[in-house]
Amino acid sequence: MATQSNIVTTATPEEDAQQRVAIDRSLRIPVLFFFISGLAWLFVSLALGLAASVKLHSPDILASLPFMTYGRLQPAHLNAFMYGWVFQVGLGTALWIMGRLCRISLPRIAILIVAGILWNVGVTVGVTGILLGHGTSMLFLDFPKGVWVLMFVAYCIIAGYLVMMFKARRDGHVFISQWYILAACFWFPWIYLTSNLLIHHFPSAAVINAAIGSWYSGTLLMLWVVPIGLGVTYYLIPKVVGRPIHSYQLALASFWSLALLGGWVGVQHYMGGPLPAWMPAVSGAAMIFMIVPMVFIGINHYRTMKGSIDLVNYSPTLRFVFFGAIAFAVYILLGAAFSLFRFGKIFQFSHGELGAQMTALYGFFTMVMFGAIYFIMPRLMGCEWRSGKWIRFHFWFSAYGTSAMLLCLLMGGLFQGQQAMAYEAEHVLSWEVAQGFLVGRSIAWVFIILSNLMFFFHILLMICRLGRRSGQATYIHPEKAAKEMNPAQAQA
Amino acid sequence: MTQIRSFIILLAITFGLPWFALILMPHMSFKDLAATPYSEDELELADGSSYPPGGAGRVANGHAIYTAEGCAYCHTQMVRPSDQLGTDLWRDEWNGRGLDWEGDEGKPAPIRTLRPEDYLEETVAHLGIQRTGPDLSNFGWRNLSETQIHQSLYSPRSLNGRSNMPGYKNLYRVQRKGSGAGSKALPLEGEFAPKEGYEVVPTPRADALVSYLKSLRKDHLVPKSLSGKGTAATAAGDDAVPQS
Repeated sequence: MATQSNIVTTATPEEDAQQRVAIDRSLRIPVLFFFISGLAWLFVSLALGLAASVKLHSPDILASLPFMTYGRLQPAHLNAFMYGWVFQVGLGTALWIMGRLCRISLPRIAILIVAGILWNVGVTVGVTGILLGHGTSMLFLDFPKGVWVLMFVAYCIIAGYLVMMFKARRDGHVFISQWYILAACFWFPWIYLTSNLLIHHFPSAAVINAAIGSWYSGTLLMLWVVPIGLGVTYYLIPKVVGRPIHSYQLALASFWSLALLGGWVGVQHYMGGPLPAWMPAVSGAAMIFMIVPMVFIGINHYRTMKGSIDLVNYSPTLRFVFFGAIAFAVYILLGAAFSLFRFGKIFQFSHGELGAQMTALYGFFTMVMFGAIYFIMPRLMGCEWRSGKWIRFHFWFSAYGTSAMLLCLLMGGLFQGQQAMAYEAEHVLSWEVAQGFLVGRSIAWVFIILSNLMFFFHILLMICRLGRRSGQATYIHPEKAAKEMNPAQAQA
Repeated sequence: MTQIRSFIILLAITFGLPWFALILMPHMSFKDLAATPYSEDELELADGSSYPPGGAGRVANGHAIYTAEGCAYCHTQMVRPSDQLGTDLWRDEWNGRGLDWEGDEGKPAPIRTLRPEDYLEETVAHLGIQRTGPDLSNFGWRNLSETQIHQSLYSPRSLNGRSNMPGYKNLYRVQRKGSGAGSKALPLEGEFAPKEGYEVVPTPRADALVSYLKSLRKDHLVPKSLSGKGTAATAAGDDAVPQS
C-alpha cells in the first residue's frame, strides 16, 4: 500500500542520504528563487496591508497621494499577498516536495527560472497597475486586463514542470502530498482561464460576471491555497513525527470530498443578491459540507501526531504546521457559519468575512509555509537555523498577530453587522461601533510585521550560509530538547 | 500511467460538474439578457420606453472610474431581500426618503428587491466586496445636488464629520480663481478650503463618476411580462416585518 512514509526504498541508508543530497542540490536554485521573490512580495504586501488597515480608520493620512486610498491599497495588498507571496512560496515548496517524493534531480531549471521571472513581472505590473488606478475591483482578479495572460503562461510552465517531474518519478508510490500538488496544478489554470475569459472577453450579464468573480475568489482559496497547504501538511507531519499518515483511506476520502465540493464554493458571498437564488444557495451548501473533509483531515493529522504531540515544543516545523492545521479548521467553520442565513445576514459584507479570508491566507497557509521553510532551508543550504529564540519570536508574534487580527475583524464584523440591522438608525453607526476593532487590527498588523522582520533577518543569514554548522537541527527550546528527547526523535 | 490518467479523469469530472452547472450554464442563459419594452398601459407609469431605460456614455465612463478606484471595496450595490437576510430594504436613508421621513409608517420602502436586468448597462455589476460605507444601489434616489456629491468625493468630512471615506483629490483640480470653469468650483469652507485665491473644480473624470452615481437607481418599473404576477411592482415585493 502506498502510504506516506520515508521507508519505501531498497537502497541502503547511505545511498539514500547521498541521493537526497543530490536532489537537494539540483533543487536549490529554483526553490530559493521562489522563496526569495515570495518573501520580497510578502514584505511589500505586509506594508501595503498595514497602510490599508490604517487608512480605513484614519483616511486623512497622506491623502494627497492618489494611490493612498483604501480602494487601491486593499486590492494591491491582497493581490500582492496572493500572487506574490502565497503562489511563489507554495510553488517553491511544491517543487521541493515533488523532487523529494519523486526522487529525481531537476533537469533544465532555466525553464523554471524564466517562468518565475515572467510570473514576477506579471505581479509587478498587476500591483503597480492597481495602485495607479487600473484595477478591476473583483477580489483576486484585480490586476488590469491582459496581465492574466502572462500569469497564466508562467503558471502553466511551472505546473507542467511539476507534472513532468511526477511522470519521471523513480518509484511507483503515489503520496498524498503529490495528489494535492498535482490537483492544484490542474485546477488553477482551469478556474483562472475560465474566469478571465468569461469576464473580460466573452462577458455575459453584469450580475453573472460578478458571480463568476466571487466564484473565482472562493475556488482560488479552496482549490489552490487549501490543497497546496494540505499537501505540505501531509508531507511535513509524518516527516517530523517519523510515522506514516495514520489512515490512507481517510486521506483518500478527504481528498475526493474536497475535490467534489471545492468547485461549487464562492457565490455564497452574494446570497440575497440579484442572481438566480440557487447559485448562492448551492455555494453555501458546498461550503457547509466542507466541514466533512475538514473533520477527516483533522482526525488523520491528530492520529498521526498522537503520542508525539510533545514535538510541538521542539520542532519549529511542527509547531508552525500545527498552528496552521488549527487555523484551517477555524477557517472552514467560519466559512460554513457565514453561509448560513443566521450568521450570514450579520457577517455578509462585514469585516468578519475579511477575517475569515486572512485566517485562511495567513493563519493557515502562511504558517504552514513558514513550517516548510524551517524544514527545507537547512537541507538546501547545508547549515542550521541560528537561534531557537528567534524562531520562538517569529512564531509567537505571528500567532498572536494573526489571532488578534481574526478576533478584531470578527468582533468588529459582529458589531458592524448587528448595527447595520438597525434600519432606523444611521448607517454610519455600523462603521463607528467597529472602529475600535479596526484600530486593533492595525496593531495586529504591526505584530505580524515585527515577526516577519525577525524572520527576514534569520532567513537572510541562512541564504548567506551564515547558519550554524552543525548536524543537530535547531529546536525551539534547545536545552529542554537535549534533555527530554530520545535519539530517534532527534532525527526529525 | 493508467493511475494518473484515471486521477485526471476523476478530477475533470468532479470539477467539470460545478464548472458547467454553476458557471457555464448561467453564463450562457444570461448572455442575451436584454431590455424589455413596456406595454402600452405601463408606459405612463414608467420613466422610459423599456426596462431598464438605458444610460448615456458618460455613465459608462463613470462606471470605469468607480471600478478603478476600488469603490466596491467599501460600497455594495446590492440590497438584500428582507425575509431572511436583514433589513436593507427598510432603510429610509438609502431609498431617498431620508432618515427623518415620517409618512406611511410600517410600509416597506419604495425600493424593491433587485433583478439581474437592473445592472444591464454595466459590464460587471459591483455588488460589492465589503459594506463599510452605505449601499449605493439606489444612490440616485438620494436628494443630493451634483455639487454636494462632488464635495463629498473631494472632501467627505467637510460635509459629514463622521464619514471615513477617503477624499478623491486626484479627480479634482486646484486652480487659480477665474481661470475657467469657475462656476463649478466646490463651496469649500474653513479648514477644507484651498489656499487663498485658489478654487477646486471637478475634472471630466469626476463629472463622469457623478453622472454614474446619480444614475444608480434600481427601482424601475418591472414590466408585467417579466414579473409574471400581473402587478406593476413599484414597491418592495416582500412585506415581511424585519426580524431584528
